[in-house]
Amino acid sequence: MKHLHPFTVLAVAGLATLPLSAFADDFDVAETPVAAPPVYNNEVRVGLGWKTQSTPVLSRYVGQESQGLFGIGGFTMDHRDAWNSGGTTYYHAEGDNLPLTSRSLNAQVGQQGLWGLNFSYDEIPYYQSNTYHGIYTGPNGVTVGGAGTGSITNVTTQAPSALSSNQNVNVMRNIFTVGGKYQWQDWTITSSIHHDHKEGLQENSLAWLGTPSVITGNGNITSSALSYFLQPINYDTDRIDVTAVYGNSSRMQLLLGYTYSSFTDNNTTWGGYNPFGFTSGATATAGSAANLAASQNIRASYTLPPSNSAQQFKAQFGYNLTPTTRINANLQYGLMSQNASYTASTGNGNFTPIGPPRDSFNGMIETIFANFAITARPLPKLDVRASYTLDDRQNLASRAEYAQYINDAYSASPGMLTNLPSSYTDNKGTLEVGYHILPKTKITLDYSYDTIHRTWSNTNDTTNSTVAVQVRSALSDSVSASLRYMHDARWAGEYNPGASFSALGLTGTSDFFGFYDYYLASRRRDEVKGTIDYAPGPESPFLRVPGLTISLVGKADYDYYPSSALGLKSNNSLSIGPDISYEFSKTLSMHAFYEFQQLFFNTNSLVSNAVCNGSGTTLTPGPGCTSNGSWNQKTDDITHTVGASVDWQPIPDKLKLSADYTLSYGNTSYTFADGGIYSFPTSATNPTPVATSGLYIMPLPSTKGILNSISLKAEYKYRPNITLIGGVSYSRFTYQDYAYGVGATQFSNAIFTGDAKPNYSVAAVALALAVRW
Amino acid sequence: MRKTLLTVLLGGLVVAAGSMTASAQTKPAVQAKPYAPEGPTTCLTCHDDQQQAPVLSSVHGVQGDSRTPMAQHGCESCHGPSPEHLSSRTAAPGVLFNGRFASPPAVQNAMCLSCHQAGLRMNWQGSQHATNDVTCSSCHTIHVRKDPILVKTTQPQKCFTCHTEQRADSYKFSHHPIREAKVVCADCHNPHGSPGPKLLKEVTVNETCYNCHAEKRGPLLWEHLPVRENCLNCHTPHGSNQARLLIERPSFLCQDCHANSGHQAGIYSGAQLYNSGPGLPYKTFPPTGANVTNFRAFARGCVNCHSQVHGSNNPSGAYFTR
Repeated sequence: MKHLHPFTVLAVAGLATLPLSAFADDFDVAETPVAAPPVYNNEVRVGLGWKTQSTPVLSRYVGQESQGLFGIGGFTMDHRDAWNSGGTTYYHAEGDNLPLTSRSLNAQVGQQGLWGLNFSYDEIPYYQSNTYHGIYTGPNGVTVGGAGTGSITNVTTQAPSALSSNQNVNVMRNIFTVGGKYQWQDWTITSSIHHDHKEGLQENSLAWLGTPSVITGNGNITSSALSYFLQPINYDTDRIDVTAVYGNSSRMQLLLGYTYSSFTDNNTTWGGYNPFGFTSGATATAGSAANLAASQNIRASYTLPPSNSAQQFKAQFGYNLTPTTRINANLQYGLMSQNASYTASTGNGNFTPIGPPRDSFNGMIETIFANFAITARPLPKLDVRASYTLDDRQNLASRAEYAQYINDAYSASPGMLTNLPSSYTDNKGTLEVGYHILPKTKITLDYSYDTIHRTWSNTNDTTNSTVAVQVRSALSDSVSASLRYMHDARWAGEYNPGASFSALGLTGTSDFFGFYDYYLASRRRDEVKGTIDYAPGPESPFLRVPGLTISLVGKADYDYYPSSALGLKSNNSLSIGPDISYEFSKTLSMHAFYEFQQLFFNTNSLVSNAVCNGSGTTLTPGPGCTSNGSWNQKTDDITHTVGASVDWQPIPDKLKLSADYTLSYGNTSYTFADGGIYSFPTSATNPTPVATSGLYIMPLPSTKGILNSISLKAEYKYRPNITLIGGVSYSRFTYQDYAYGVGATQFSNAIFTGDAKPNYSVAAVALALAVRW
Repeated sequence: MRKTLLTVLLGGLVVAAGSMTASAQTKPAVQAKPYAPEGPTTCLTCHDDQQQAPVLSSVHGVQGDSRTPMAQHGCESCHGPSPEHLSSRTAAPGVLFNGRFASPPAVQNAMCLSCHQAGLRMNWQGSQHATNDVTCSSCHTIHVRKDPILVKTTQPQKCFTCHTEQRADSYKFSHHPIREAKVVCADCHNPHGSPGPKLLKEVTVNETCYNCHAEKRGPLLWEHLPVRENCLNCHTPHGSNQARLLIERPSFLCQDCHANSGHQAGIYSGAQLYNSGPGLPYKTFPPTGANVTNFRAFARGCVNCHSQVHGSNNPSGAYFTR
């Protein structure tokens, strides 16, 4: 069924080129041979449509942001030498969405079995907003109206001289691919060149000045400020692939490949002026006027993604030792490098910073991947598979100290931190055994053991042990089902909460004792997956409804972190829903589905302003956990998705009507609780936990996103080669999010985007003509 | 640890050796069935209709290419030698790919793999789909000019037949453009088998993501370790109710790994949204004036300031703010 974006359903009418029986592959025998009707392989589609509202969100990826008229255009041209002519020449060309800024073109030509060439072009827009408000006119960081820097002279009563209004924020990808293949004996040689240009603007933000903020009793930020800006995007990603493949129909297969990828960022830095006039704390110079002047001499030195490159050598081998035993080897060696010149450590023009130890990073990552697998059927009912995988990533960059001028703030003695060239090595072994306990019932057991060794991490080693059992059965001719249970246990070895920070050079800084990074922490995972498929055909002992298919798919998993007194304590997910298809007749069919999904997270943490000993004497801030109290936060993310569609041919092969409806309802709630208000001991010698006063916690409003969309489409075959296509669609999206729709100047010390909420209510109507020959 | 892994691998080798021995010792003599003497012409005598004939216009029908079914034994190249079916219409062909009398998955797939075992299909045996008895014909439609699974506008619907969770994800607020037919399942996954996780095209999650998001590849001077190890530590690729395909909202997502004295472990609850203070009614949102408090609860949360969350190449970027 076509549960496409409603806009795409109207704009892309290319499905008309497929025969009506495209999705049917039944075994059928005609009573007498029937002459095949003429096959139309070429088609042109033209049309017009009208959209009632301008909204970037609806057309985020489709390329029709504006209200009003839009064009529909596409074509297909297809030729292949007659099957029994001895010829092998073919060509195929098609284009879709040609009048829109999401057009695609592709073409292939060649002689099957000998050579082929292909070309494709694709546009992928991404519309983020058309209601952006900002203080910068664009990517060069100049403030609106030429207003001077530091025009916001009081961080508590900010008043920018001007804001841009309703700027369009979007990016566009233009992707070109050219490739070819050549068949030489049993070898297929393919090559392709892929160029991806991405350009536009993207919302981004950065903090200005101040020290890392101090949380006071009511959460005010006292010393730093924030502003959003439009980051210029101008990327070129080029990739060359060359592959040689051997042995499609022999006992042995071989693949050799090389890939070179280059990413170029045509911008290196965003250097917008600091818009805030700090009257204190901006520099070491005393006096408000001097500080204000100094504030106006600060630009950001915001580094944009540096250019980089990567190479990959790949070799794959497969061999059928016997018809029931196969070995596979997959090997890959890669290098990723980055050596873009450093941007300035700071754009603060009021002092001369300590420069970096060298001009560029000269970073290099070496990756090695090796996978070996044996798959066998030693007995008619027994399947076995064993594999070993090595995934190794070594960071070969050197370490050095770099002065930190945080948020372009001045510091007489900047912190000197050392970079961490992190690496990991992952070894994994798996064994899987499946046995047909009955002719149509199979039970599978699998076990895997996985170890990951990391450098510069809070834990250097984690191991995973996973065991799973699955039963698949065709319970009858009309019912089949499967059920799988998996248990995974991860152990984190020698966890040191301060290891990464210490290695950086942040002495005296550590996560609280009892807190574990969730992706490193010891974890127990249980997962259950099940499917039931019911197709009550003529032989079904109960309901006999040919053309009916009902399936139920469900999955639930639960993660628990047994060692984590603080941090993510548990999370679980659930998805389940039925799917029903019914073919009433050859001319009437329907499909409906429902899916319930839930994601749940449960986290504990501590609020701490200082470290105290058991007598209440305040020590210097550092590792440990005397607190104002612990807190608990739960996120409950629930989604209901409903879809229904009907396809009906009131006049077979002449008139076809389709209707499609989708509802997606997402609701996320955030609850908080006082997590126990006890301080946790740092060691066995720490005194008895001390109850503290309760924390002031309030609930957060739930966030909701509700999407309703319906589309109606009619295709009337006016002539065997002329089809009129008409359609109407309506789509409504409402979004309720406390964090969204913040006014640009709503906060005293921050300039936000002022984006309107992405709600929309849009109707579109379209009419198109498809002509085939 | 390495001993355990080696034991597993050796165990597999022993079983494979046993399989080879068993196969060599017990393989019975099989008398080959004859193919139709006139190849596809025989079948087309009856199956020359709208449902079957389009295969002749497809890649499988080109007799000039000696590799194709039609250049070999015609329809029987895929459906197996079927002398009984030629004699009596009520007898099924050698191999059936759908319907009540469909052949076992291994038999069906063996027919396809006899020609399509290299390249993308090299790791089919023992892959997730093969283990779950998914047949080639579960996804591919052969008797048509153009297989719908190879078309961007129709491929996802086929995958969603079984992967219903991903279908629901594609409708969420933040999503890859799957239903807009700009990114399809095969852009990230190789459903025929892969040595990497989750049938991804590349051997790791991150290398798959870097194909389109090369600006994240680095390496960078200041790395964010969970980012470098696996994008899925923070993101969910098919769709999310949170912005930017995040699995959880900042600051709560960040606080799953960060809890330190200072603002890291601060509580960004509703108290940060409203004119705060005990006893004040919190339904005064949105707040106004200078009493508005912590902007970390708004917009992108922690990423408002730590916007270089994927890592930074700025000498002063250790805190991911530049």
